Amino acid sequence: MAVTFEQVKAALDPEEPAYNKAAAALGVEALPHLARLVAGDQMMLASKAAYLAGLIGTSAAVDVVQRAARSTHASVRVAAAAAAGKLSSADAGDVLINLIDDGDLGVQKVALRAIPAGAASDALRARVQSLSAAKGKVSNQDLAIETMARIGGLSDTTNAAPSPKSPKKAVKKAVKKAAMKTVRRRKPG
Amino acid sequence: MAWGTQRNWRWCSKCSGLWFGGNGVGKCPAGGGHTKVGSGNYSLVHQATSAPGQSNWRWCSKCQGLWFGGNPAGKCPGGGVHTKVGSGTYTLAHQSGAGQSNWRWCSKCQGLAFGGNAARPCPAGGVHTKVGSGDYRLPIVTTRLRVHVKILTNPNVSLDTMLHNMREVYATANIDVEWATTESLNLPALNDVDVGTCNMGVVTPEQALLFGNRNFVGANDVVVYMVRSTVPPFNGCAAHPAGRPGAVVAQGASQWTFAHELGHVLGIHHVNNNNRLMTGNGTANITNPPPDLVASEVATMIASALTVNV
Repeated sequence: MAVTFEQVKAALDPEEPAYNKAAAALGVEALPHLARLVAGDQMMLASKAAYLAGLIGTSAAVDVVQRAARSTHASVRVAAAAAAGKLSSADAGDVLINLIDDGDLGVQKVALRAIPAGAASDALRARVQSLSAAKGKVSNQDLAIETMARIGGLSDTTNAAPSPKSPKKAVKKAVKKAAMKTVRRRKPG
Repeated sequence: MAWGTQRNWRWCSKCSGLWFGGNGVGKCPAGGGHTKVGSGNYSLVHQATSAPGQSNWRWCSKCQGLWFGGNPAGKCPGGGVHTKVGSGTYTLAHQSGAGQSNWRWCSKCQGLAFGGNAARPCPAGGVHTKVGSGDYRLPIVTTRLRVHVKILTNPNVSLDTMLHNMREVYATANIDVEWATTESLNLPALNDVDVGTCNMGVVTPEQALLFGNRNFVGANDVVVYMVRSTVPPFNGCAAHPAGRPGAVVAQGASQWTFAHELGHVLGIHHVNNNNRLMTGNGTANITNPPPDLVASEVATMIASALTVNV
């Protein structure tokens, strides 16, 4: 029996969807409905749909994830980056090569983490290497350095990766860079 | 954005009026001071900038009663007319909402009196009237849950709405939801927070870092971190480090997600029923708002160390 839009939406409506169970139960027949949700105006459902497509993981699923990667909503692109991490290495690279250049720090962070170890293309490595050298007030430089160490350097040995730092340290450093903006405290009247 | 709550408002069995029991006994129109014998502990929303309901209710320092300040002051049993000097502004749920219904505005004295019994003495003469009044709802509380909000990204549904909805549902369990503090955090590296499998007792390094932000937070308080998104995408996630109770809620969450996630923090679990707060089918599908808590859920919530007796 064909999977319906209602079945797909019902799987994604929960606060915490059971993604693995949904991917197994719905399979590739869910993909047209997931594409519709990714293109829709409900940001939360679009994000969930993109992630589920990544777990389903066929070539048709890659199209859904690619569409999410082009969303105007950063949180949907974040979900696309996370979904790419569930695709095959080659498919993931095709999605991630654009997302690691995303101007949004969160999208970039998740994209860097999603790059599969050992199978990244030279083009993708070059992008990560470029990020690892970039300096900004708040950036993913440390995470890019760690990612280079994880995925391996470029074929050209003159572009060897810098020494690695732990991902935990990279996040901690980015957090430290960001100052607490405002504090507002209520008082009883 | 934000409001407080004030407890210790009491029903006076002599005049049926609502009065503040945190000072002396004030002046009762039935003679002498008010009494709190037989009364529950009522909690009022205080100093709201945008909470739903009718605002401009005032405390009178002369009689300790609550009166409506949107009309000229009515007669006060403490002499002359009611005063709003020294009072904050109170907002009452009106025509809908959780709590005890049948509280009425008296057009003669401007006070609030319980209309479920025979009318009792009014300071303006005779007995209170309910003519022209709507139905006000006042929650009776036995415990409180103190909530701090840390904002990395503002949610699409306003915090006022999320907290008001939570207060309304939790009032059915006699839990007073206190919105204690609100703090903005500039933490872009944690704005799309990795929550892993989102299982209780298991947290990622990013969750551990995020929940380390605990300015103003007491031992039995809970913290909700408002983030742009979670990885993977959830409306919210109640998994938290040991000893740091709280949850994350994503920007695209529903109006009930906040209350739902803190329900998990208090120990209650998903159910397959869209009339209930803990529906596992998505709180956006709640069919009969406000959603319900059943007796077993209430018992679990009250048994939590995070709900403190008042």
